[in-house]
Amino acid sequence: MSVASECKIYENNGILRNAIDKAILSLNLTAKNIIFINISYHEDRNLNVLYSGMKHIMTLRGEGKDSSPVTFYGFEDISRLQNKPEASILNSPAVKYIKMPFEIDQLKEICSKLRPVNKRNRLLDEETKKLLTEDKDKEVQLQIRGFVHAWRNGVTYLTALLNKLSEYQSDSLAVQESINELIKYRADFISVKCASYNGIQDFVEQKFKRGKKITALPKMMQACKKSYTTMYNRLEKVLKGKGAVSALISALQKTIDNLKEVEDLLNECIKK
Amino acid sequence: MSNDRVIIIVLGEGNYVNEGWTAIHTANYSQECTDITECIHNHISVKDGKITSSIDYDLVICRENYFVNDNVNNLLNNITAQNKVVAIHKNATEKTNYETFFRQQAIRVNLFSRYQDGSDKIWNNIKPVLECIVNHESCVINGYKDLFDNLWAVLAPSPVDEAHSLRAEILTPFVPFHLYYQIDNEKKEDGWKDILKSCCMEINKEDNGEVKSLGTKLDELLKLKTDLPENMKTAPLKAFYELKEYFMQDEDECIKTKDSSSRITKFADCLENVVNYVEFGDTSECL
Repeated sequence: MSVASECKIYENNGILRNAIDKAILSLNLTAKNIIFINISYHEDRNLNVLYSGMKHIMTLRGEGKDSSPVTFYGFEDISRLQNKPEASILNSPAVKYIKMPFEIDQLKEICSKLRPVNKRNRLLDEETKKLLTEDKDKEVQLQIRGFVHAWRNGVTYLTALLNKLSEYQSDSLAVQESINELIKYRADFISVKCASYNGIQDFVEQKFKRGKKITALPKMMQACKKSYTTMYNRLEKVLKGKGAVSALISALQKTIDNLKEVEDLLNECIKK
Repeated sequence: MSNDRVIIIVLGEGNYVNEGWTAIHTANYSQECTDITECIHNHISVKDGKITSSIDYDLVICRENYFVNDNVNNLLNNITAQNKVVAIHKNATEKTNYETFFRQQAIRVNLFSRYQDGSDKIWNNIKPVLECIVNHESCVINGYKDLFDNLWAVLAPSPVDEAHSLRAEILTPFVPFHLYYQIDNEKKEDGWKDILKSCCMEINKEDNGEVKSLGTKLDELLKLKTDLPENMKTAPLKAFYELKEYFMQDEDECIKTKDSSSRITKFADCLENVVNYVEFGDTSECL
């Protein structure tokens, strides 16, 4: 984002950003807080970039983070652009569009018509509000899937190590290797996974409310954290030569059992 | 085979869920193959998120070390789908040979890495598909079809999306000049010269490895629709090479005349027509 002209410019191409900045500066606009944004501006390269600039403003306004008037620019013709679902934001208050390459006078005229939106609940048109709600829903669903995946991976990793530990004599080289491998999972291996649940808890409980047990998840995760901490302490003792491998194995087994209990509940809810 | 789209993913091995070919293999063949090195399942076919032995599939997952010699030919010969796209893991030793091979057959090749701290867009879209295959029940939340479509969109963007992106990339270096010509002389402050110099460099840049010149991008744009009328091809090419010749001068010379402003507008109009043809089939001409 560039602010030399006291306007905010969202443009990924550095050369174009500087040029637009200087062009705006030459206009001596009375309104200083206008956002100029390419319809394809993107902060994250994983995003679909064609209309991500419009999505960016949808999010900013949807979250009430910025109510500044907006001038979008892009190479598309407005009549074509307006027919695309992503372009509903163009119907929101204090939003204009200009097609590149544009006449500077035309830009000045557009900007002179932009007025700030005073009421926060009027930042978006109805269609865009609806789109935003749908997007949020999809995003949380992806987060849930990511959480379930991370949890399953935890079970898989620890189970693989438990199998190795259980298979050989405690003083064997294979067991030593497994113990060394186990230490790579940091002390917060499980607590990090549990923390990521906080962001989706409300949505999960609401979505899977028919599976009433879902509300027990946080408590079950606490048990996972506790058993993992115990296991990790025993691991450190074994590494210092002060603990028995058998105690470590039993703590690892307990941790996996607790993790699996959470996994089963998640699976049960997801299937419903 | 009934599918019109098939994705071929060439994956390295990796034991844990999502990491690689072994996970997919183990999910289905753990009983049959105890020794992975002697395994006969060098590629695995998937349909609707489930591993299949049927000839009807939408996804083929290949073991990296299988992707050599005649295996590739045989594999491709068995895929009758109209639309095929390949994603090869960057570590695959033979990848460079096959990039050329596939391109000759007009099959789009994408390279990805699963070792880039979450920044590889292709791997980020392959992961959920693999996860869905390994743990099929997870597809309940986000269906395999959606995941497949997301991956397809990343591996083979639609001609319309490509047309818009290419048009923007081609025109962007000309826009600062178009703005500069309109600004009153007394308001042309310091800094413009650097901007315009960078634009000249961008306009005259040659192809270099993965970096494409504007001319190459224009060629790609004009090839997106095989039935693009001849005049829709010649007009933008003529406009572009006229502009390019003009901007081959030193940037001080380039800013002396405003003539190129109207040429830039004309070039933009020509590209608008091409993009509209790709998207809507419109046939308005660039005058």
